[in-house]
Amino acid sequence: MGFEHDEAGWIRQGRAGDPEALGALVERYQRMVHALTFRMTGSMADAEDLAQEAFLQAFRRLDTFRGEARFSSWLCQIAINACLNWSKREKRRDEVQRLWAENEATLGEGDVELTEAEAPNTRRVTAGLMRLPAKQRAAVVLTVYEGLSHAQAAQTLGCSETTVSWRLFAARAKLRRWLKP
Amino acid sequence: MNNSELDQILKSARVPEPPAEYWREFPGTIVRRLRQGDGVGSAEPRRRPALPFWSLGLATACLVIGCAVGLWLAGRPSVPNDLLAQNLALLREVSAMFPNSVRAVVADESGVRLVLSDQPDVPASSPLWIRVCQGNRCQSVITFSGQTVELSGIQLEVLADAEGHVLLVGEHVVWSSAEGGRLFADGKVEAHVLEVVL
Repeated sequence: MGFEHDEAGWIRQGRAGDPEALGALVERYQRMVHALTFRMTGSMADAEDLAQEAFLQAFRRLDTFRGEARFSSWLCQIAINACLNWSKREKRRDEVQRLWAENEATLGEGDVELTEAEAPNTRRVTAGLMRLPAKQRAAVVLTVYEGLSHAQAAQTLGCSETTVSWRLFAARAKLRRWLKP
Repeated sequence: MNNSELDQILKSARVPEPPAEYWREFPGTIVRRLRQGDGVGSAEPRRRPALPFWSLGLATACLVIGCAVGLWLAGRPSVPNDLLAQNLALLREVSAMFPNSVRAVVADESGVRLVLSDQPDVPASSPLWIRVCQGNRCQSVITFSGQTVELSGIQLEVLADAEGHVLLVGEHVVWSSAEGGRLFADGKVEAHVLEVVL
């Protein structure tokens, strides 16, 4: 069987354990997953760990992907759930928030690439997102950054559309206050 | 600041970009970890933790409570319990965000909106769920005893009595959930004290 070049082919070959196909899927979605996990954690180190966790979980249950939703949506659901489970570990969250507060001034220096003009805004927005409860943050990440509708976000988060709307409403009210120019 | 202005600010924050080398190595890292671990499509059943003993007790307790509540509700009006449970959960979530400020949560065909008090001065009282339907158009409100809400254009004071009945009192009209009947000429009203029902 030769190497296929479309996503459905990669999934088919990935199920058989083909490393090249799995690598191709990672390559296609790694930036999307990293962006999502970063916005959920506010930490590059945790975002990298969770991105790995999300891909590993996805591939370990690749045979359960039925193709009813897009692969990206399915992967997004796994990644967001990994982030929500991470947030549940209260001790870890508290520690990260403390580290975030301590390191807020240093983001943009070190190994990540942000221009001088971008860094303060990124810091401010990320700090705002991190102050939100995890479920509200997830609603913002899925709808604002990933462009999902409320219904799609509800499906991803396993809750009702009304709940997503409320979480978004509450999150926006707080973010408006915190991010006021 | 409106929603689109806020979204613009949120989207203007870039995700920090790891070095190009990281992106090149990341797929290989995942594949290596898969090889070292359980492989594709096999880990899920093994990762599931054993069912804790206490969960069996909890499930039994839930079953007993569920049966008891079910029997108790047998003679009550037929509003789906999951709908009331959803409403109660929603109210709890919103109240936690805005303590002592939530006057009502209104849902109608235009969407869901929150009615907040200017000050955090809404006294704690029984949460109530009211639904008014006129033809195919329905409006539901979650509010508290003692609050005034507008239903189908009429200002009504909402009250709960000690027996768990809901009273709607307007300038020219009184409606009670104990007696039922019509509040409007062409409308149907349902009302429940959420915690009593649940």
